[in-house]
Amino acid sequence: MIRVRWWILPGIAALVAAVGLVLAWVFRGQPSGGQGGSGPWEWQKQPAQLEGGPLEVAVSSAKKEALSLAQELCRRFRDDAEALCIFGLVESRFGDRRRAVDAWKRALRLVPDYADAWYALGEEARLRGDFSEAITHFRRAVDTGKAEARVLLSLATLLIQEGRPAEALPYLEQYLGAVPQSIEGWYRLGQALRLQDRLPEAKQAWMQALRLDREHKTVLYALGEVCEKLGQHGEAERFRREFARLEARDRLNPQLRRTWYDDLAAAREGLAAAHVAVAKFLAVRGDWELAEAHYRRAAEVDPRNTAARIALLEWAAENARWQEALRWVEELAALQPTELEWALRRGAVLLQLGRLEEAQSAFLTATEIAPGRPEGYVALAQLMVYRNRDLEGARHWARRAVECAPSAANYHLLAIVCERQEDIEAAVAAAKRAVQLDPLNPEFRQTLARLLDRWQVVAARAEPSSANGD
Amino acid sequence: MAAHPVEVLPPSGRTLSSPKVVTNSLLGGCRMGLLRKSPSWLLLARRLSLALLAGGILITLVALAPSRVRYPYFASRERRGIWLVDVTPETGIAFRHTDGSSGRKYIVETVTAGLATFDYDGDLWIDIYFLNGTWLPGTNPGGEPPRNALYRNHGGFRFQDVTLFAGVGDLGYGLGVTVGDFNNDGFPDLFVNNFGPNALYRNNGDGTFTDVTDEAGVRGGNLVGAGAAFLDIEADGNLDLYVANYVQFDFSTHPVRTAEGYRIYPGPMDFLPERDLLYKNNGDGTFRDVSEESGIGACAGTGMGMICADIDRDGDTDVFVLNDVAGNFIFVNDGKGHFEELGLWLGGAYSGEGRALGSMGIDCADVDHDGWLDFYATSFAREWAVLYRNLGDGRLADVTAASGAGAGTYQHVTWGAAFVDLDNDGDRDLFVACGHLYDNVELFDPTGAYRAANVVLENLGNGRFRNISQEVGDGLHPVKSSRGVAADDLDNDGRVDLVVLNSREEPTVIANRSSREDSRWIEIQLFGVRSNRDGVGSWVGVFEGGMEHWAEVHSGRGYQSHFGSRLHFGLGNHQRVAKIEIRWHGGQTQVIENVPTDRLLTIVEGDGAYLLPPF
Repeated sequence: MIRVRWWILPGIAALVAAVGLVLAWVFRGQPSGGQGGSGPWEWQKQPAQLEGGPLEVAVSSAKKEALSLAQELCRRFRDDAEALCIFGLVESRFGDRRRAVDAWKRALRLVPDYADAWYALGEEARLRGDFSEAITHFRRAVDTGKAEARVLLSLATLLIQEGRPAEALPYLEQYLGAVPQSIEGWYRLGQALRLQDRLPEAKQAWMQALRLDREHKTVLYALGEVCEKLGQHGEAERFRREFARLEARDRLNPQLRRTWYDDLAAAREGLAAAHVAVAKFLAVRGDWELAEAHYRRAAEVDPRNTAARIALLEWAAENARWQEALRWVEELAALQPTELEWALRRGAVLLQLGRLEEAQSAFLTATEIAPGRPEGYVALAQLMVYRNRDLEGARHWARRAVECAPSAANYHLLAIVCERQEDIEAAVAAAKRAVQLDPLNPEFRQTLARLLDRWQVVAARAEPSSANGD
Repeated sequence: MAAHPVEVLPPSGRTLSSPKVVTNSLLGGCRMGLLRKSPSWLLLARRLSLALLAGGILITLVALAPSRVRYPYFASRERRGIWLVDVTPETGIAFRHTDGSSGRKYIVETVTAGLATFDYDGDLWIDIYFLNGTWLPGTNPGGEPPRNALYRNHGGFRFQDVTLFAGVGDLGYGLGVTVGDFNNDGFPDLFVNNFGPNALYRNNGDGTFTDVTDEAGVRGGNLVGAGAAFLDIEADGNLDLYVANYVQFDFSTHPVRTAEGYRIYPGPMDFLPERDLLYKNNGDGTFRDVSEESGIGACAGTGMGMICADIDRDGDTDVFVLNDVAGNFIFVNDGKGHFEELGLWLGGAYSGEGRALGSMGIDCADVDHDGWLDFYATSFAREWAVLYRNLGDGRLADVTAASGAGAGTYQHVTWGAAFVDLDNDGDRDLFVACGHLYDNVELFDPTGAYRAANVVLENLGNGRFRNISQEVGDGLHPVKSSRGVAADDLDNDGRVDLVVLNSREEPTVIANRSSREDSRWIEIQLFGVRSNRDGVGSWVGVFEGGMEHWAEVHSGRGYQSHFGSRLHFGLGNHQRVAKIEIRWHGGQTQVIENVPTDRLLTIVEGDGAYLLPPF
């Protein structure tokens, strides 16, 4: 029998105390974020929903829905890297960052070259301020060869912000090769060149960005600074004045001021994004019915979500549900009124519904949105030819299309219009031009042959005429 | 320890039938009797327990010991490089800041407060003045109302609360403070920029102050204050007063904001901007509001930290005011007290990306020894603090990325900033105070932290900074929601120390215990005669070993704070200073030659320099 000695209990107590003190000493005063302190403000840590306000309830409800959505996805698709990635994104947005990181790491254990997971880890590190780790993760994403272009931009941006412009340049060039219309891409390129004191090249890059958006304040500011450095004081002043004008305009915009604090809109946006991600996941796996339901929910939750509406528009068009397609395209056009595509699609859908006047009006809107693009003119000309009405108008639009883009297709369209007007001479000229530009296109050759048959005698005697249908 | 068998005699003197073994314990004198021989494992366990008990007691004692006991090695051996030690427990400072918060989330709660370090009683020990908030609607008042606090420095990091005696326990909602001898009587005065009426305290020279706000005409109305600074706008020898203001705020129109469903503070964009004020010193103890005629009143902003400095080195004092989520103001002085706002044109209004940041505090120094003042502005979370390099003609360029001067600041809300040569190597390092303004940020932003460790960036001397926050000792271990910071040599050992005001908590006092090897210094106190008495706006150049160190005397800097009236220069290993050149704000130039280092030097305008004996 073991006798309990009098010194054993104090000895154990001393052991525990010593271990505790050692641990306290080691971790004493280590900087850590930690939670807010105790005191009279504890109740503030409870969600504002306890106050019962509708805003707080709606936000809380949105968060819960998003989290349960992600959890359900992972439950149904266990050990699926993409599902884990989506789960991580939702958790990082609405839930626990640590769970998000765990999910992404699990995804990478399943698929080590899963670019989206590396990117997500990089973004998480960036938000934490650990740029070194973020750069490492972004590089891993890029090295998989499957990363989206945005990863290149994110990586380059971080390298620039870390004062490493030379390393950023190759990524930027690669990014702009994939997305040449990216304003931010050109801006960052200018930034990298500026950091290397390559001022004329920096200015060139920023000018390219400005061509894409003449009211981009960041680009204007950069141009003001670089022109000043180059001794181009007049230009510098011009850019700065424009910057100041736009800045003053934005400061007066109450909507811009308010959206910074629109908590509910942000929550809805996040919830809709979660539904869209799940919908895409399901669509790829063939469960279109469920995918559609999620897209619908996303559209319902977030009145500004375009991804869901685009998907629903495509789905409705594919299934010839034109009335529904019209709804979605009109919502998209309202959200993005300067987007040419929605005006064109709206016209196309109205055509399908037999609402020809409205379709014509939609195509006319397209020409007003983008007067330098041929698509609207082409659509109008085709519609008028189809209706066999106002052929003079059709000829006018076809001619405009050719002026914007003198392509074989547009010349061919012009030829058709001229033929309808019985102006065979002009039609032949236009058709000849089309064939010159695209000699291998059988349709264009057939058209030309047909027109030549009608004109064979006339063409032999006629004077050479302009190919522009005048 | 070996057991020594000892025969133990019972009281009766008879020998016991069983031998007893008496063993001397580690405690010496503790005798334990065993009736029979113990197994070896039991002996080992016993000894181990006693050892752990002794070790635990020792560790406890050391952990609770003051820092100088905790670091006896370093105190005597002087660790190389920058080394900061938290000496707060030893100071006797009992001040605890309050923002008067009650859960209603008034915006003013987020911006309190600054602090000041200055020698109020002329005993050559730098004292500390803390600003405090006060009760707001919804606060449950009880007991003594919160007040500002003045602590007198007794040397050795021992401070005494002399607030009531001095008469500077202002009961207003303190936001910004500045120090300057506005009546040129040789005693520094205090101006407090409040939410509500401001306060000007005239130093009587006997350890007390008198509230002369109304007499001076600087009460200012019911505005939300911010930074403040004394400056001499026309170089007439009298200090004028610039008062920055934040937003137009009223309790009745306070908006409710949420993030992820949690109540948060509204931001400056929820309110209209406010104009700043400029008061001209009439020279008779009164001031006149010249805001409109000077051009200052033409601009309304969301003022926060500010600094008055000669940005373009044309001999007059300009004004750099940070605006929260709006373009900063740089008011360029024409020398006659008229100002033109040129922030955008000089490159200091926005970050290098043209963004209006959530700017908080600002400091300036000649970081790269080119003779031009560079500027450092702190900012909101997910924004870097910005280092603006002066390009040599008053124009500024954001060199944060190239210099690394934003390291460690991105994820935090940063407030007070101080350029200070912590290791006396001749380069101005940076101390940045951190802490979120949302006290519940962790609930909706896992990367945010209400309490955050402050940041120290070492100036490497080659245009780059390095984040050394993890390497500088326990001076950064107090993790609080910091606001204003002041940098001054509190123990007169030639190493600049730091005081940090923490929101809703006690301040942090940090002793600079950096290595003394190759770390000479000189501290210079100006005494103006034709110029204003404090020498505010005057430039001092210290020339040694082919290097020039320039500094300007400021009143008001950092985050709505004041410090550094006594200029400090780190000089590396130089034993003597070849030349000191003073460009007085009135225009006079004075040269002192061949000055020993490691001393405090008082320079009287047009007279001479007086070396004080070492402390």
